[in-house]
Amino acid sequence: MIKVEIRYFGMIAEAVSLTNEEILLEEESSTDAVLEYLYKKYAALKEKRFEVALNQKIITKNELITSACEIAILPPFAGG
Amino acid sequence: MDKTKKIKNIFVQGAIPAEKVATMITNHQCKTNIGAHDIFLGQVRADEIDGKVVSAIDFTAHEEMALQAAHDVKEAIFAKYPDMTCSHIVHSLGEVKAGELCMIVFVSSGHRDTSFKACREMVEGIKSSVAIFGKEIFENGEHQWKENS
Repeated sequence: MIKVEIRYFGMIAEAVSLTNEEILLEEESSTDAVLEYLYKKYAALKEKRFEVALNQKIITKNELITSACEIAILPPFAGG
Repeated sequence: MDKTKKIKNIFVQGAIPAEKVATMITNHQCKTNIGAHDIFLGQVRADEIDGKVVSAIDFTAHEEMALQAAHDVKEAIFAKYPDMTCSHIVHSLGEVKAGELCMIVFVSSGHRDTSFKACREMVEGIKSSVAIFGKEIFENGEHQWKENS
């Protein structure tokens, strides 16, 4: 089993009513597969713009998940 | 000179007191190779949106990612400007009321040209690449999510 910690921030955390959750993958998977799962679980995600970070690095394409990791769902930045 | 530094905390809880700026200036007076400081201060603005007035912003962050990104922004600017002596970033987390300070970017260099340019670039870098999120709270208790343009 592969443990994936999902972290939600800002308007995304508000939309899914969660700041973090853990999911268990039975076998090696991918970030796209995890996102697909999240879209099914949280319809509200479909209307949101966000970036995805795998182990604290923003990704721009599908990445393989082969071991425990953190996936962060990051809405638009608003610092300053 | 040791310009490559370890990742530093930038966050403080709540509004940044104005006195912090004076303390930072005082802390640099022993560094006599500095000839110019440029200081950017971000202040929460009471925007009026559809008749509702922003009374505060509640800031949150992916703190580990934000600290790494702020560090990377600083390092890239240091590499670009050899005349730059040091820089400091302070950013609020939690609620900051309209009129209060939520960010300080403090850049020091030998001469003014570097400070002006580097400070501007650092502010823009923080706004675009540091994972900080802001909930604009209206006077009537409603809210919307801030987004940097």
